[in-house]
Amino acid sequence: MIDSKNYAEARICLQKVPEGPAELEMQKFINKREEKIVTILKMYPEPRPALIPILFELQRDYGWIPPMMVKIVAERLRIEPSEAYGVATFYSLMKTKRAGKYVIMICGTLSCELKGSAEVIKAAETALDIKVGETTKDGKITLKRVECLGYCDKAPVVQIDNSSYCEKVTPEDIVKIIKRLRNEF
Amino acid sequence: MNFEPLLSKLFSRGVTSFDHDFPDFFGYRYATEMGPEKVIEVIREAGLRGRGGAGFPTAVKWDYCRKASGSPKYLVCNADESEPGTFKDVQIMMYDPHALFEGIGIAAYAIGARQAYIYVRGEFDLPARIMELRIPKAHISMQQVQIFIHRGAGAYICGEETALLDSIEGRRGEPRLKPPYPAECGLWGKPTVINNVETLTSVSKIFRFGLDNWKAKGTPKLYCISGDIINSRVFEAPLGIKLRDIVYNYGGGPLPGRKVQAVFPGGSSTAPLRDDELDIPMDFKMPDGKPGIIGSAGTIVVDDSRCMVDVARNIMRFYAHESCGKCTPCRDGNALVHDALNDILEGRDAGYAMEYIERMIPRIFTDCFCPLAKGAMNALGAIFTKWRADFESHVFGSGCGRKRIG
Repeated sequence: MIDSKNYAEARICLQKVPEGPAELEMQKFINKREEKIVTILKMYPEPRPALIPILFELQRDYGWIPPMMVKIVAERLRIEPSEAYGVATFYSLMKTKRAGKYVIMICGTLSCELKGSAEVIKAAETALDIKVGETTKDGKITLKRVECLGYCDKAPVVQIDNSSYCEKVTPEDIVKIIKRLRNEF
Repeated sequence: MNFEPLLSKLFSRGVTSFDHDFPDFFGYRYATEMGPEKVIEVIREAGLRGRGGAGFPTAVKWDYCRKASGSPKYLVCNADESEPGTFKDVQIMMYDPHALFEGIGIAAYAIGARQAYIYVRGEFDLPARIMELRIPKAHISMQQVQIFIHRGAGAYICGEETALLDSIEGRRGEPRLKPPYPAECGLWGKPTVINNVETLTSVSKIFRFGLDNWKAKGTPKLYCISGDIINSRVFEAPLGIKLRDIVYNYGGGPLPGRKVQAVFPGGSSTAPLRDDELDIPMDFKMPDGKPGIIGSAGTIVVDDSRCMVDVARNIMRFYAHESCGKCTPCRDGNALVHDALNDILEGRDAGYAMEYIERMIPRIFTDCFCPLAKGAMNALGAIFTKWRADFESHVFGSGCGRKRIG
């Protein structure tokens, strides 16, 4: 399926003369991540499905997905920019608004809440002095309550950014986690 | 227990302990020597049904896709395990990914697909990375199929098979109208088979260990148990064991001094049962022919220290948050019902809120587009009828006096 025609099309998506500062920024990102982006484009028979993985790569680099970048990615993949923005805002792991450097996600679905995730959230709110869904004033930590993370046997579960998990978290634990995140800066 | 585990054999190993194993894919070689028709015949004989929740016979799906015109064909592995209370697929992806790859190889061979996508939910970063590392080795032994990992981006609805296809295609994950079914017109309009992780792993085990071993002591099935229970865990047991056995035997029963109040048998989309109703088999069909209660086999136990209105509020918050927004009954209905439940708990015009919920349940159930809101109303409707006393204590009295969970 990944014949040379597809590959050629994939290259077209990458190569375009940059106009304006946002496109220059985009070109910088593409040059840096070229290998990864080509791998993504080669996975599918058409360019469109690469939208979500490329936006994820972008988020990994920038910490969030600026709307301007969504527009540029969409144009290169030959998607309507409004449609691409609709996709970016649909998925809960994509940050279309600026968030903190670290995002603490606390699971609030049934199994976790039965094991006391509400108390963990309260402890986190007091330790950070913010409410659920807000970012600390220094822009370092965002606190979020999310729905099922898929580790119900280890409830309550806390996820930090999109990668690391903490299992069976108690209110004391979350205070320690926050302290450690703060010390890292 | 003299039940030999097949699916969960490797779950006790460490994640990195088999980094240097070279999988032999013996089952795949065995299957490719048989010919595709014979492979489907074996799966039919094994009586394998989809493990994701719907319980559709796997052989029928494969056969349909195999005979469909259109090329190329695609195989998609649904690893978007998001049903609350279900956590079995993630164990397979972490500890036994080779079995999953082998199952994918066999399935792709049977339907005539050359490309397979594993749709992993975005939250499962570690399992996705583990699989990414091991795919090159699988490609060496199974050169007929290319396996790709596609990561989701955090949407419960993408576990629905047509929404999953939309999500892979780079769109918003919204369910499509069926028919046409994906086996006829799926990914990019081509015939596509979508199977759950556990289904494909079962396929691998059938060919590795043979039909006789597979059926020897009942069909192996993974169950999950969580909530107010002593042992929250994944375990393997024959299909059709009693729900009471799961709760009291495998789960160790409720915490000391408490009683079981409600049990969600197969994830939060299934109707909860009272303690005296637990003597029914966990199967795709009841003995009297009615649809079974197994769902995705994620059992959640709620004990008697919880207010069931509060539990209903929690699950409705989940469905209100995860609605994709395609149809109005689900997008607005779930949110309004959640607000009404909050009103009951906080004593704001509770009588009206209760009437409102009663009126909304059948309307959302019949008018919604896909199984998401149907599942939500299934659970809420059962809570509403079986635990009416809890609702009434909030509406007509001063509340049930129990501590709120959230």
